[in-house]
Amino acid sequence: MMIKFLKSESFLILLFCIAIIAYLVDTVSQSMAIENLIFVLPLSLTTLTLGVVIIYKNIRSNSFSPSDEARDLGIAVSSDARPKLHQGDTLNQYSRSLTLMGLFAAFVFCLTFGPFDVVSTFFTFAAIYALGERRWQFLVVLPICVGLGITGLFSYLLPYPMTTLFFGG
Amino acid sequence: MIDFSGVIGALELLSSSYTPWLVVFPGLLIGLIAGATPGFQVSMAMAIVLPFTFSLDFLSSILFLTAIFTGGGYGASIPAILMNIPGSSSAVASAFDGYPMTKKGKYNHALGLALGASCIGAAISYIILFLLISPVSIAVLKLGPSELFVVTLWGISLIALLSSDNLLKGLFAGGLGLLIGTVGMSATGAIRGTFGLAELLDGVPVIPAMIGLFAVSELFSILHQSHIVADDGRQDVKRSDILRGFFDVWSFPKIVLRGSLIGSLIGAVPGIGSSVSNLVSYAETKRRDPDPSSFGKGNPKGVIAAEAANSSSEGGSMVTLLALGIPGGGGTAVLLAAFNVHNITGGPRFIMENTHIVYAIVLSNFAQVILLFVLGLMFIRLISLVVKIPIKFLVPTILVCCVFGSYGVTGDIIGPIIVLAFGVLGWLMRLNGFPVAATVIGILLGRMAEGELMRSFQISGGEIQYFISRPITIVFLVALLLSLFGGRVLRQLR
Repeated sequence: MMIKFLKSESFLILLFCIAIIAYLVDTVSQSMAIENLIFVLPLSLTTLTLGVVIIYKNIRSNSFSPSDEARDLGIAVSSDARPKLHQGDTLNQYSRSLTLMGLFAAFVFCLTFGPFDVVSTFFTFAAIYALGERRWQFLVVLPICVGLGITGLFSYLLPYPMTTLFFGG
Repeated sequence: MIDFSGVIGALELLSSSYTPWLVVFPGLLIGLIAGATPGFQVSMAMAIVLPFTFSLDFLSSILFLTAIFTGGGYGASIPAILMNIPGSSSAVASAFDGYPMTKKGKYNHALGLALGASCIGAAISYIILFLLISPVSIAVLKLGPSELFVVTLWGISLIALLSSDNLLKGLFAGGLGLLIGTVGMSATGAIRGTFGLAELLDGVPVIPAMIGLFAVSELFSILHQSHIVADDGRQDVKRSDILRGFFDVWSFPKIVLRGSLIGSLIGAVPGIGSSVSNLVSYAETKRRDPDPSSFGKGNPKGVIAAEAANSSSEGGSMVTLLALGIPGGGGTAVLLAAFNVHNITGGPRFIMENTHIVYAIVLSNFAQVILLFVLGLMFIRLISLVVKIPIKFLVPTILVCCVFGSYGVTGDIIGPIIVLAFGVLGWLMRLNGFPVAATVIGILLGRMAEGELMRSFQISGGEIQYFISRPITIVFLVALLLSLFGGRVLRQLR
């Protein structure tokens, strides 16, 4: 169910179309001047039409297309357009991605109030643990090296203030 | 053909400071490592290191990024030859004969051939750029806003067409990118699509969006693997054999020249680049060879043809970027972003006014080719081991770099938030077969396309005859329509 939801092309396009409509409404409400709409209006309508055509084609075929099947079986090409899926494409594989996304979102959120070096260290620890590492040497040493090393490097390079615990920020 | 005062200015610029040269060495090394790591596009490495270039001057930052580009071209061939796993789509054809050579125990020779062909191919493409950039810029100066608008649309269409199996999805992704590119305050002062966020008034920050779409989405996609390459096979690298292979390339001047010309030509077309040129060059060399059946079984000519073409595509794509300000693919999209960071708009006017900088970029790339040879030889063993780093260590480390890099771009937390949002968006797009490259280039060109259309409207006073009366616009429009529908029409006619 979860896989179908994530891999539902039509659902994704529908989300994009809603976002495009919201953008178009916002643009029109700001100004009806030709200069404001000359590019955005026709482009939005064209993109929406393309979305509708893709959804219509998906509904008409009403099943996985041969390319989707090939994709699921891992007959993948290296183009960035294609997902790197392999045979035995299971929820477990998606759960890793979703877990890491959750951790990454928490990492970004924590940066709004926490020291960068500490938050980065904890994120690296949590991510390595979530990806299956259980040896304490790697769970302790690597996050400290990554968190402190990268924070130290960037706090030296960047002209912006960064909240840190160990680098005087 | 060549502006000699510009050349002298370039030489003065390059010899006045050693700073630009300091960044070439690490740039090449990063490119070699990124290229040699399957699944890690060179454009992704360029996007991640882009924030490091903010403290550099324009020339140094462009040299740093082009060094990554140059290194990546050869780096991708290393796993292709040693493990039959191309580091990127640009090295697919290198594996056809490179890996059979490895199976025969001739991997050092194959690596040397690839290094030689890459160095010579890149040098030839930069010679072409050196000779053509001035006349091309004069020709491009004659283009008006209507031509530039249609060229932008054509570029996006080609990228959408060629980076995806499904044209509709490619165009949808490109359209989405163009729309995202117009978010923020318009030229008329209207605030569009910010939904109250003051941070978006200047538009969606392009570099964090690019890091999210190119790098983070890719990192989210490779988590099911334990290593980038699970192959435990290890080959001993012998530098003397590599050197012999390097010099053997000179025995096949026709193949190198043909591959380089094919690469430069195809590289100049937006959306195609090295992914296609290596295959075309390989096929052409095989077709012309007296013994085509030997290809695919370890014929050195196959490796040379593929590598000469993919390395020379870089110079070709630089022509389009410098002359038109339109990126041909992911790598040049990052270069365009670097242009924006330094408030420089690529295009004919930039070339005319800063000829010395353009020539400096070209001349320093010749030096990069020599350094590539040295570094390729020195670090080949280290580079071939990078693919053995476990994903569970690699991904979190790069994600932390991405967050800090994006923070460096915006100076506040909006950068990391954009990286997260576009990372998830890119992951969903990849999962459903949408080309993220089309969206990235759309984001980069959205504002430019809108500006050119607006200028056309203002010049014409809203009269459609203005477009029809401009023959070059019509030519580009026909080319746009042909690239979109020509194939289908031809198939139906047959």
